[in-house]
This record gives sequence, structure tokens and C-alpha cells, in this order.
Amino acid sequence: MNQFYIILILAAFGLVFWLLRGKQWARQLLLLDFVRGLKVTLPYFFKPKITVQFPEEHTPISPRFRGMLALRRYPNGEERCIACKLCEAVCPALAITIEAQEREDGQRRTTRFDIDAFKCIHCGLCEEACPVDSIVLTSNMHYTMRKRGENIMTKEKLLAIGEAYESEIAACREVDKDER
Amino acid sequence: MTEQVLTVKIDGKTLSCKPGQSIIEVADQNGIFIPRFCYHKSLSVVASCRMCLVEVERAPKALPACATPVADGMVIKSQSKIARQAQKAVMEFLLINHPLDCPICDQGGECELQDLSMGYGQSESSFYQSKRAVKDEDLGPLIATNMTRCIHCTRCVRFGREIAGTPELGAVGRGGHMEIGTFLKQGVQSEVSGNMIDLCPVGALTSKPFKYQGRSWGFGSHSHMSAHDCLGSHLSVHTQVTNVGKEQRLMRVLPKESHHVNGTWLSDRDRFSYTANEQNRILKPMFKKQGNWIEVSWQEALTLAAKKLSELKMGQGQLLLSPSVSTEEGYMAMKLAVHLGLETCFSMLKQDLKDQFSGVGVSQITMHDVKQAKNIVMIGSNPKVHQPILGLAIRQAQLAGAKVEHLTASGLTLNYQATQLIAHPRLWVNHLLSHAQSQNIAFEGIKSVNTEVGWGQVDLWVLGEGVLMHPQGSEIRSLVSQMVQATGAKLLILTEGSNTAGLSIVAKELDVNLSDRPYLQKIGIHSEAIWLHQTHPEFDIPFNETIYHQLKKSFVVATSSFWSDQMKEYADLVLPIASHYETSGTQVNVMGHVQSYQAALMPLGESRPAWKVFKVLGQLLGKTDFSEIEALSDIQQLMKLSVLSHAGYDYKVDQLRPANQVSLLNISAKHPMACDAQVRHAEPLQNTMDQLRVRISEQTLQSLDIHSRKTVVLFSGAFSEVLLDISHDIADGCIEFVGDYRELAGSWLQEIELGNGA
Repeated sequence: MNQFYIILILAAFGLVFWLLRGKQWARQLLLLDFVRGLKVTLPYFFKPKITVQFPEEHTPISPRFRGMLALRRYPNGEERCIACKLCEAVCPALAITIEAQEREDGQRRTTRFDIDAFKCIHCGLCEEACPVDSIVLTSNMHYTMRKRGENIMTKEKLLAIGEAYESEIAACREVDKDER
Repeated sequence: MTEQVLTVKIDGKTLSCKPGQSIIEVADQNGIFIPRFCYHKSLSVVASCRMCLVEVERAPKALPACATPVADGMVIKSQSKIARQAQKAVMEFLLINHPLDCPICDQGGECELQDLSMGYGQSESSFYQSKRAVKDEDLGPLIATNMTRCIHCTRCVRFGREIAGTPELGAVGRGGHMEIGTFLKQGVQSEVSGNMIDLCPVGALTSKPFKYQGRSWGFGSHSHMSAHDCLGSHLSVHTQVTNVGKEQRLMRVLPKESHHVNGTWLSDRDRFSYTANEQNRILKPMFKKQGNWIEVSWQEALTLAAKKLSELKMGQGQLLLSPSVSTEEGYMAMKLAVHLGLETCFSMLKQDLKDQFSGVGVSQITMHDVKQAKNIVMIGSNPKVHQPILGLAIRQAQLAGAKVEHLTASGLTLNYQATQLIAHPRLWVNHLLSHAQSQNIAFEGIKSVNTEVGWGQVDLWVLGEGVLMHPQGSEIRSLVSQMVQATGAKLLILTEGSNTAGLSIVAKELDVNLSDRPYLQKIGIHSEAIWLHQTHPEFDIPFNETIYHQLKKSFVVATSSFWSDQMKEYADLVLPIASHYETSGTQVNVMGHVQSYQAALMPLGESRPAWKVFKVLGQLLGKTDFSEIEALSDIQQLMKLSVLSHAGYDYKVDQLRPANQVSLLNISAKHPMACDAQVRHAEPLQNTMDQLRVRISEQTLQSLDIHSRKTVVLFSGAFSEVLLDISHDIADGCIEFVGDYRELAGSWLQEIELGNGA
């Protein structure tokens, strides 16, 4: 008997739903959208939390992350850049300016290596073009310029960034070496 | 006889060609590309690189396209499997020993090997042994070497042997041990050595001044003209626009192909003079106040110049004009000079212009005429040094069988075979007269002389710098031009400066009398103001203490691009003028070609194109017709340069002036590497000069009672003790300076005093 009533009630509900289908006021009255939304959010209530305390904590980033640029050195301290100007040529934003000259020992070296950080679009084409893995994009994305002119990253600044991040840069390249 | 026409088929295209042509020539004419390294259209064929191998039907194997003459009905496939396979194999062999240093190679981006390896190279080599390395050689201040990169195409060797006539480079060894180098380790001395840089398909020979300076892909190219010889080679000037600030820089100069002047070649002087463009430039208008130079604004400087010049009485000032400035500049300057009553002089070495010689020869002559000439007589000319491009043309004529004779005061080192008649300059007119007699040509009122000159039927006369500076220059020009008219020969009169012809033509139009100015005595003696335009008198005219003191005494306005050390002492007001490469204008070369050029880059600093400065100065001086001039084209319309009828030469000498008698005559011409301010500031060119020596004959030394044999003491000029070079092929009574004698400019045909040295 009970079963009969249950079926009847369900059928009555079904009939009412069928009759009210597409009716906006009925959806609102029955909180159908609310139920549908909860279906997405409710599971997160039970999942583990990933919020980090930002300045102190960081989310992990890919070894291929393209942040601030840097110039690397060889382990013996010699700068890698040989002033081939391929990065300058490939840069779609014309952000790189290079001037080269012969160093006293006869090697081809830059006398000026400027990157305009405002022009740079972090596309990473310079890194791809570099034949000696000199110019790289580091994971550093938190940098600020407070004065006009600070956006020009000179050779000294870029080499300093490279020195500061060298271990990390080398590690990222080690992870990714098979894909290169 | 009608010329035979052959029909060949290359890559399915049916082409007609002439017998004797090679496959690669026919392909080039029809726009079919066949890869090559050793082949060059201006050089002989050696077929050593094998890159141009193509398949020819019914031939057992692939044939080199550069060395295979076409035959009628030949079917050639440059893209077939056999051809591609052969080309790929050759490329693999070439890359065996070629280093992979493209990123640091200056040729990178414009390298023929790099380009072709993209099309024919393989990414892997089957050669695993170590690559060879070759020791570099120092080829002098112009050419940088990296011989490890050499692929032994021998283009440089063939250029030296065939075009320049100075076989300084050669190949030593065979096969993998072959090396290109100078046998004697003396470097490359050729005056056209820079062309080897262009010819080298790889980065083995590169430009030393341009070393590591830039990349070819970043340059803008501008057509321009050279301004250091009277032929005016065509240039391609490369400038770079940097990403920061949009500043332009002059990066390098390459030849631009022109059939009527320089072909594909360029002299080193024209190629490397660009290095001076940023050296010692005047960047701001400057005024000397109580011995100190202070910067002033253009407005102040021009007002001051106008005030000083307008105070002059007629005929109390002089304009000293460089013969290498553009015609427009010269026109404006001369117009101003006429307005102010200034005398106008060309800043050249002493010249005898009694005949109103305008710089353009009697008959309009072309480079083709020079190459086709059969019997060339050159009087007082050393084309190899002073007009290198003409030297190459004369060499070509000589190789084609022409007889070349030189009338000179000292033996010349030439790059072609020639007979040299060495005679004291005062005897040159006599030699001409005796030649005229042997050819049965008589001159009115002039007695002929009998000496032996076996020149025969001459069809090209070239009068060089020796005649230009000869005290009897008018006589020589007149006699030769009369002989030319009598025999129908051609005449080429070379001038100093690149635009003497154009400036003389406008001078005639403006009724400015440039003729007969022995300004050695006259310059500035009564001048209260002297206006120097692109001129440094201490280098450009016969200079001595008197002139220096006169310059210091007068108010000197210098409109110039470059400083000179002495200018800081004698000038009172300097206006910075755009350099040659920053100027647009028109040049008329000695063959009568009117050629215009556009500025390749913006003027450096606050310098301005000269015609604009003269326009404003003219307006300040109340010259009303200058206000109508808005652009360079307005000046060009005003001066009607197309009228070359002025070029005619009809001076007839009626009596010979006696040649001046001096005991020891300096016969050295103005140094080719000191010909104008631009060249004087080009460091690489200055470094090509050897140590100063004097050439003199044994008899002359004895007659002067000098017994030293190593050095002599020089009493005139800036030097004291100089090395002695006792030579037997220099006329008695003459002295010649060799090497670095820039400081002695202007002592041509002057008396020199010598004393005993070591």
C-alpha cells in the first residue's frame, strides 16, 4: 500500500515537474539552480585545502616557467653570451639591444646588453634562439620598477640575476633536458 | 656573320644562349639558381668547389656547371636525384672541416656556406674525426682572418692575381692540408684588398674595422657615392637603427654594382673611410672667446658669422672650398661668396688653372673606353694609388693587349705591365712636343723639340695628379688636347677631389673665377676674414708658417664636419656640418656622369647639412633669393647642372712659360690617405701607411754634397731626420716621399732642403 502511495506521490511530482518544465518562476521556487550549484561546490568542502600563505608560501611552478630574464655564466665564471645577436633578431617586441666589440683576448663579447622589461612579453623565443644557453627566463615573476629607467635591464643586472638564480636555472634545465 | 644561337634545356625550360657560355652563366641569366662557391662572374673558372654539379643527359656523371660549356640540345637537370645527391655529398665534404662557430662569425647571416647548408646540408655528418685548425695570419689593419673557416674556393687568390694584379695571397699544400696565406708574411698591401672580404663566401676573410660590430640582417641599406676620388664609386651604405632611442649608426660601406664606374669593386679608401664618421666630429657651433672655445646656439653662431662677414669690404675675404663637397653646397657657398665679395679658391694643392680647366675632359669618356683602349699614355699619374678603380680598368686594358706608357718623375710600382719614361717634370713638355713631331702634329707658335719618345699612335691620354700640380699644367693640357683633337684619341684628365667637375661647372655659371690662383703666395695675405668650407688648410693646401700666422690674424669661420688640432688654434667660429654620408647632393665625376645621392643617416649631434646653413646665413646677410629655397631640389633647379656644355676645353697655349728651376724638387703628390678630412680621420686607413722614407738618386745626393747613406736631415716640413732610400729609378734633381708623409702635404713641386744625416 505504502509503495503504491510513494509511486503515486513520485508520479504526481513527475507530473507537476512535467507541467512546470521551462517555467522560470517554478525553477526559482524549487531552488533547482541552487541544488545544481551545490553539486559542484559541495565536494570541495570535503577535499584537502590548497590555499597558501602567499608571501611566505608559494605554489609550485613549472620548470618551463617564463619569468624575469637573466644572463648565465659558465661554472668558471666566464659569461656565456658571445654577442651573436640571435636573440635580438628573434625578439618580436624589439626589447633587446646588443652592441659588441672584440675583447682584449680577441673574443667576441657584448659591450652593451639591454633588455627593456616593459617591452618584453616573456615569450621565451630568445632562450630558444640562444646557441650557448646564455639568456634564460627565470622563475622570478615578482619584480617591481619604481623609477623610470629601472625597466632597462643592463648586462650587469642580468648577469647578477643569473648568478642569484644559477642553481635553480641549472636544476630546471636538468629536469627538462630530454625535451630540449 | 650572324651569331650562332644554341638551345639548351635547363630544368625543363628551353633557353637560347651563345656558344662558349657555361651552364651556370646561362642559368644565372635566366634566373635558375645553381649553388656555387668558387665561381664568380668576374673571376676565372677553376671548378674547385664542385658545388655546382648538375646532371647532364647522356653524360656518365654529374658535371660542374661553371666549367661545362653549353652545347646545342643539351638537357641539364639541376634538381634531379643525381644532381641533388652530388650537391649534398659535396656539402658534406665542405662541412667536414668547417667549424660550427656561426654565432661568433661575422659572416653569419650573409654567409654563402650557411645559406647553402640550409638547402643542401644534412644535420648529421658521417665524419667523426677531429676537425683541422689553421693558424691565422695578420693581413694588415683592414682584413681580419680566421683561416680555419676557409673552404679553399681560391676566390681571394684569383682576385689578387687577375683583378688587383698583386698576387699576395696564395694556396700552399694540397687536399686537406691546403692553406691560403701570404708566402712572405708581409700582409696584404693592395689598394683594393677590401674586395676579398666581399668575395670570401665564408667568414675566413672579414672586415677588421667592422669586426663584431653588427649583423647584416639588422641594417638598412642606402645608395651613396664615394667622395675620395674623381670617379665617384657607387656605394651601398649600411646603417643600423638601434632599438633604444632610434639612433642611427653608420655600420659599414660596401660596393654597389655599377657598370659605368666601379663594376663590382671598391677601393679600400672608399670602403673604410666610413670609420671616421664619428671621430673628432664637431657636434655643436663653437665660438672662440679670448682663447677659449665656448658652445653657442645655432642662432647666435649664425648671427655672429653674418655680422663678421657683412663688415667685410669687397675683396677682403676668401672662401676656401673643398673640391669634394656636393655641387649644391658649392653652389650655395659660391653664391654667398659672390654676394659678400669673397674670393673663392679650391682647397687643392698648387694648381695651374690658367686654362680654366673645369675638371671634365675634352671628350666624354667612359670606363668602357678605358678598357678598350689599345695604346694608353699616362702623364704624371699613379692610378694604383690615387685612382684605384681606374687602375683596375687600365690593368684590364693592358691584359687585353693594350700598350701602357707612363711619363713620370719616379719609378712607379704598378699592378700591370707598362713602360715607364722617367724624366724630370720640367722636361715633360719637351717629351710631348717630340711625340707630337713624331706623329706629325704641329702647334702654332711652338717649336718642336727632338728627343726620342716611342709612344706611337696613342688612343687614350690620361693626365694625372702630376699634371694637375705641374707649374706648366695648362701647357701640358693644352698640347695634349690639341693632339687629341688632331688624332681623334680620347683624353681623361684626373682631378683631385671628387666633385671638381661639378663645382667648376657651377663656378662658371656664377662667373666665379677659380682660375690661376697661386694662393701659396696669395692666400689670405690681405684677408680680414677667411671662410673654410670642409677644409683644413694645414693638410689641404701648400701650407707654411706665413699662412698659419695669416689664419691666426684673420677672423676664420670654419664650416666643417671634423676638427683638426690646428683648427682649434686658428679658427674663431666653427659651424658643424653634416659629413659626406649624412648629406644629400649631386656629384659630377671626371667622366661627366651627373650622379645624385641621398643622405644615409641623420647628421650627428647638432650638425646640419651645409646647404641649409648657407641658406640661413644668406638670409641673415640680406640675400633675398635664398628665401625661396625650401629643398635640395630647388637648388638643383637653380643651378641647371644638366648643362654640361661648359665642359668643353678650347684653351690653346701660344707660348711656353719657362719651367722654374729648383735644385731639389719634391715630386710626391698629396698622400692618398690624407686626401680629405674624412680619410684623415679613418684610423684603419691611416694604419696602412709605412714609415716615412725619402727616395732620391745617388747622383742627386752627390750633387747636393750629401754623404750620409742611411738618413738625411730635412729642413722644410714637420720632420727632421728621415730614412733614406737611394733609388736609381727616380729622375735626377727630384725627391720623393714614401710612406707616411701626410704632414708634408702641399710641398709638391716645392724646393726641399736637405742636410747630412747618419
